Amino acid sequence: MQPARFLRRLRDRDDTRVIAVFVGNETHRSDLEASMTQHRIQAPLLTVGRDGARLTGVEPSSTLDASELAHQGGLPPARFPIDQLSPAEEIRELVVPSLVAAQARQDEIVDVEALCREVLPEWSLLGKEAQREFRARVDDVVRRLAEGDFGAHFRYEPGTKASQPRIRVLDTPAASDPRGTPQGWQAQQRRAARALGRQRPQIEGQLAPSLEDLAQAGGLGGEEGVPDE
Amino acid sequence: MGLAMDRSDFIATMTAALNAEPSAEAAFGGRLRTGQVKSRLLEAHPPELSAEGCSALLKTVADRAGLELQALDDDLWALLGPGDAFFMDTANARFWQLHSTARADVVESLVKTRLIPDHRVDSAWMPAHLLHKFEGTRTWLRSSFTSDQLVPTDGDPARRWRMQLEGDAPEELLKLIRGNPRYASNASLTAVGSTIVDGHRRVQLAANFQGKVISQGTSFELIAGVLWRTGKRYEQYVRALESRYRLTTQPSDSVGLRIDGDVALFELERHIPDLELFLDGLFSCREPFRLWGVPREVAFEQWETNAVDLHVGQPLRLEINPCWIRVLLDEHTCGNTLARLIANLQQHFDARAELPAAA
Repeated sequence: MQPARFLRRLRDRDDTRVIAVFVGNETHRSDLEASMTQHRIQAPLLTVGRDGARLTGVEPSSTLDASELAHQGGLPPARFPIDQLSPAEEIRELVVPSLVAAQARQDEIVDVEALCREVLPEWSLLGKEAQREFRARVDDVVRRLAEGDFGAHFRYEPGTKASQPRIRVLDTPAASDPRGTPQGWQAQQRRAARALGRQRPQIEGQLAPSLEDLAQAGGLGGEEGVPDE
Repeated sequence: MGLAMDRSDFIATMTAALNAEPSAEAAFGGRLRTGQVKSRLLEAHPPELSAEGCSALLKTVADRAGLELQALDDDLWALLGPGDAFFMDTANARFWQLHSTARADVVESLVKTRLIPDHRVDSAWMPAHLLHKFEGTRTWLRSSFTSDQLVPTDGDPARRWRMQLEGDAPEELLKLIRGNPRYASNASLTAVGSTIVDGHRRVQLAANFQGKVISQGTSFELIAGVLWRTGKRYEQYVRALESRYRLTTQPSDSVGLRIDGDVALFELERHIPDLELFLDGLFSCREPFRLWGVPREVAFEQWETNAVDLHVGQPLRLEINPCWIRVLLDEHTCGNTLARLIANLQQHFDARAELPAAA
């Protein structure tokens, strides 16, 4: 059933009280509580963390039970990895793979606004001013990436009266000889690792071509792409 | 050369080639060999899902491969090289079929170096449940499992094996092996072979998990029928994956943002023994996974990556701990990306890996 239809059906019933429940990540609970207090919102708050879920702020007369529930499911899936207020480093976590995806497709141009739509699911809900602010933040992220390690691969082109700001893809491992392509992408991983501040800048398996690469280059690949022993 | 021929003439010509009849040798300027037909099930993204779109993509592929592209009939094309002919059936504009009587290594080379490197063309990635459905009386199967990329090299009794079973109902024997906990995760179904008899017509076909099919016998019509139905099942599978697992958001006046789609969750019967090694293998940018990503540990033994399927240039997110893998598909990410992951997890990590809705 469509959510809107479901809500309408519940609203029409006298014996069912529909209340809003705020839902968030457990790690953001204190921020959420502070914001709700600041905006004088009195509503239940459900937060889900790595090992459990907590429901608080339930009125005594409510049929909901304030409770804590343990689970072994790990952190909840990040269906919305960022929002419009997320810090620049979290935005960068999504912008870098989006640019790499454009390289893999051999796109020549990526519009900053298209990038905003791609990384922020609620983009279309934002007002013009909020969109402008978020676009400026993404703009800043891509400009810094292009000025850094990715300079040989991407060029940032500021907006003009005639065009929106955009990124021009200058080079891509996808265009190189297929035999050297994995090494090209792995080099891009190392650049990304530095840009994203990872502690493991080099993946162990990337130090040398694998036996499979060697076998394929020599025409020795097995039927399923596995070298015969 | 008089290449224009309708679909039924094409089927008759291929049947003649299977039967080593002289008429086949004259067809296509002597480019048809006799004996066997090699086929590939492919998934393509032409610029538009129409005959014109398929033609444009095929033209690019043909130019790159130095082949001459000729239309034979509606949605049936010939790509002609100096010594061989390749036929592309694009009746389904997204799920194509390639047929050729060329040597297996020649077909493999065309697919590997000219077709697949294009981000708009991918193989069909058949999971075990679709290989099980491959038609005919099963007389042969292969289990070819290798987990070198994803698990430590010691402590696994069957880290790598290649097993071929011939005889009646070979799947029963594979099931028996899978029943042993020691080998359960390794007993992948990599390829199957069947015999089909219809009156006086008899064909044999073998298909593997990468959508490769080789066939021989007396009737290409029988073979084409099997391949068409196999392709149809694959299409339904990929569309089901997209329908269930693409995560979409739509603005809605009544509820703000409407969220659809499920997170794809692999609950692993075989737990990941060494997470960092597994991640190194998965995101090595190499075949078979061809995934790009820079994983980060967000909690003890829980990792996440905003990854890129390098084959099609689509983003996807993976969240991984020793007991499960979650995949969050983008709104536009192709279901074939998930199909590739499922098939390769079965061949390289755990033969039992499966998504509930996809089985």
